[in-house]
Amino acid sequence: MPQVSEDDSVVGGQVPVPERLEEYLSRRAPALGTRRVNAVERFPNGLSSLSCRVEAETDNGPVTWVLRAEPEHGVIPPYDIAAECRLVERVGAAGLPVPAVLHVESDPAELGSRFALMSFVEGEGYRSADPRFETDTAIVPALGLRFVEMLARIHGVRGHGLTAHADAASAARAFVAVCRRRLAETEVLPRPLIRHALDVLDRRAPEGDKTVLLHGDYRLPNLKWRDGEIVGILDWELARVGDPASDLAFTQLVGAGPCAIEGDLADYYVELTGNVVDDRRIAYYQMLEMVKSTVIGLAGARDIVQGGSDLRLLSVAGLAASAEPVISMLETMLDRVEEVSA
Amino acid sequence: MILVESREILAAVRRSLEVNVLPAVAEDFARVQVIAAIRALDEVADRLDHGDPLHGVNGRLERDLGDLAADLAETSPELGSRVAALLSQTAGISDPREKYRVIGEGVTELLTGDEPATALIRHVMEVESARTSADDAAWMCPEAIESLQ
Repeated sequence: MPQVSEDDSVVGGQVPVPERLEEYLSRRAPALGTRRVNAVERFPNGLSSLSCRVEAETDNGPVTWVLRAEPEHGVIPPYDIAAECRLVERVGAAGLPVPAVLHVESDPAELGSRFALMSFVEGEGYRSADPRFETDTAIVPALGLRFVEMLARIHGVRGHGLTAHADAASAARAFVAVCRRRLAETEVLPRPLIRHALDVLDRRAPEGDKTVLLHGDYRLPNLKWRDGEIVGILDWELARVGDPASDLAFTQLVGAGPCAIEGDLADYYVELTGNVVDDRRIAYYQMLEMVKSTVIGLAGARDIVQGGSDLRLLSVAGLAASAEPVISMLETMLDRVEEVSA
Repeated sequence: MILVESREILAAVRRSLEVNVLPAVAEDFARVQVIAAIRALDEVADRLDHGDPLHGVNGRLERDLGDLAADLAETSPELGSRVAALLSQTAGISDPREKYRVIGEGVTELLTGDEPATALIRHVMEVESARTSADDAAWMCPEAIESLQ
């Protein structure tokens, strides 16, 4: 077992040193059979939880794991890595491709923050604006179909264990309350337009009986692919229960990419699920998803002010603030759709 | 170090990051941090030269809300007087962050009303938000945003 001095103690939200993790795993997770941790490297992408690639040697040979830790401050408080892992396990038990949860540490004193160790899903990843889409145009339609099919499967998961709501409008209002609380806790300077948008969303949540498990961040960078199939759905920290139109609206605007679920892809989704996707819902949930993402981005400024060290958050917060005119435009679009519906 | 001005120190730090540090950093996450740091130093240097950008934001908001209060005096006198009252509250505040905070909280209150004229207040805020965003875009670090994809 490696000797670890007090000087090797881990600061919350920072990448743990291999020796420290190795000592920890030997002591707290003996079933993993860790013999040596060779490297712990932070994944460059991602914004919220700290995700690292862990290369280790075990009794069963070399392995690659993913260490996912709660950040010290973060942009999506409050964090609950254990709850996220329970959801991932339930989704996996429902037959969807997700990483295996190998170990969860709920004591932040151990390595500086609560964290989970998960299997690394081997596969290909695509960025939303991936250059391969320009050189291989045939790839996009196939990805789009698999993208929709997997979302339909997510929306069909039962027994996910997340808080249920009486109907879609109640779910939407509950989520607006979550956004309002996050904004209140992270606002560095008051944002009257965002607060106003939250009031609008609270008042105008569309009625509907159907609620499903929402991924909440369903976009290409959160999927792993192999041989044209999705083999890993990652990043479940924004999952919640709500109107299925919310995930669709997310793919059209905030998570926009070549797989935006609209037009034929939206028709295909309806064919697969039977869920109602009308203009009124899409307009409302585009606005809600944009407000959600803006609130998360604005929290980057709070993270920096509170001592965070990820300087990307300065740009993230700036980008979020620049979404205010877009949100106002979405409100106008919602007005128009409601007028037409009336 | 007392011999050198703040902006000269900033410029030297920026040069060092660009010339000495960045070429030596191979790891993607660390590289983006260095690039973002350089961009942040540029923003701070600009503030040393031109002051807190909230001065300009506050000035424009006070001017536009003042014009609106005058217009509302005839069409929606109660809302107009509430806007005027907010502006009289901010008049004596010198700290730009505190002044913006008071304006922001006050406008939030004004927007909770259901008078159609509140749309005019929103419009003032939207115009300013668009302008601020355009100005702020100069300090955005594209590599930082790209790294999140």
